[in-house]
Amino acid sequence: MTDWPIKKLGTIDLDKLMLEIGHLQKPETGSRQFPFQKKQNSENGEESKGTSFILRTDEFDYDTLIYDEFPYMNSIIEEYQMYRTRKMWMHEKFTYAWHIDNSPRIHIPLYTNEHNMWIIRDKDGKKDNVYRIPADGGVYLVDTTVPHTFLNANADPFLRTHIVGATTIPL
Amino acid sequence: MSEFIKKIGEVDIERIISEFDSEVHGEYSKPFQYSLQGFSKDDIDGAAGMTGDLKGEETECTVRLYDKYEYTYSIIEEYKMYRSRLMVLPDKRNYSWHLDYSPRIHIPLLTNDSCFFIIEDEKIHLPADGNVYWVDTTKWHTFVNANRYQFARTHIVGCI
Repeated sequence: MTDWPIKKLGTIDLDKLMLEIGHLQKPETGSRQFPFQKKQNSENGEESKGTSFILRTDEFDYDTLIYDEFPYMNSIIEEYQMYRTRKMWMHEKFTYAWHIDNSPRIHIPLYTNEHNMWIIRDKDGKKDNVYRIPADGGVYLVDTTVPHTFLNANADPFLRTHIVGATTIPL
Repeated sequence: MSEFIKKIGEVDIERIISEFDSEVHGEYSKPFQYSLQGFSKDDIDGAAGMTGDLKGEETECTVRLYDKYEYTYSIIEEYKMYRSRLMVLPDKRNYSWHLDYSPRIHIPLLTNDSCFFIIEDEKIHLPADGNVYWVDTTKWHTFVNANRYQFARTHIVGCI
């Protein structure tokens, strides 16, 4: 794999992480996200959930860990300088709208397969390419500051699950 | 142009769209298929659904279902299409990654740059420019509508 737009930064113990946060289920209503960080003075991280695809510029304000009971998750957040970190679910046959993010993202796939993919535009804006990452314990830095989308093209029920957070780690 | 796509003719898409004014309303929460051919005259959903779930072979799905849509059926006859459908894919939806038994004819009626095929990892957009497109859907592919706002991508699709 080349370093752009996806770079493998390191490896975590996926089994250990799943033991700690694997039980967190997709909310039955609303955004398909579970936040691990909040703004310093807010009650919870509910407002960190985003579905409007409007460019958010406040993601680094979500710098405060919410749960003491997830020490391994929290250590990953700190090691990889993550902000607005969430567990995110995506159903089969759904696509995100084509959009850009304010900063790069860290992605840690928990449950995925080859039918889940990004389409990410080249830096020169001339070509859109397809990328996949496996749930291999890798911590992936993804340049989502260029136009991109993600889709789950599974035919059968398949709930793709990633840990996702903004990061200050440079591309 | 991609090796998976060929332009094989031109049609008047405004004329096709005018024939379907009453069937296409623009508000869809899930993919929608409107069969134009079936396995028998009363088989109004015969062409819809997954290929593996059809009641017969795709090549047998040739019976004209409606007396109206004269212009659209003239195109279906001209290009020897079978299992023809009007296919609507709403925003933020995609089809599964799959193979078809045969290539497809696609006539885009309503689309934009955020609507595209991915065929063997190549992204391909077909504009609604009046062209009739032959698409090699016997290769692994999906179709994606990555529009942010309500947008019902609409194509005439048939087997060939």
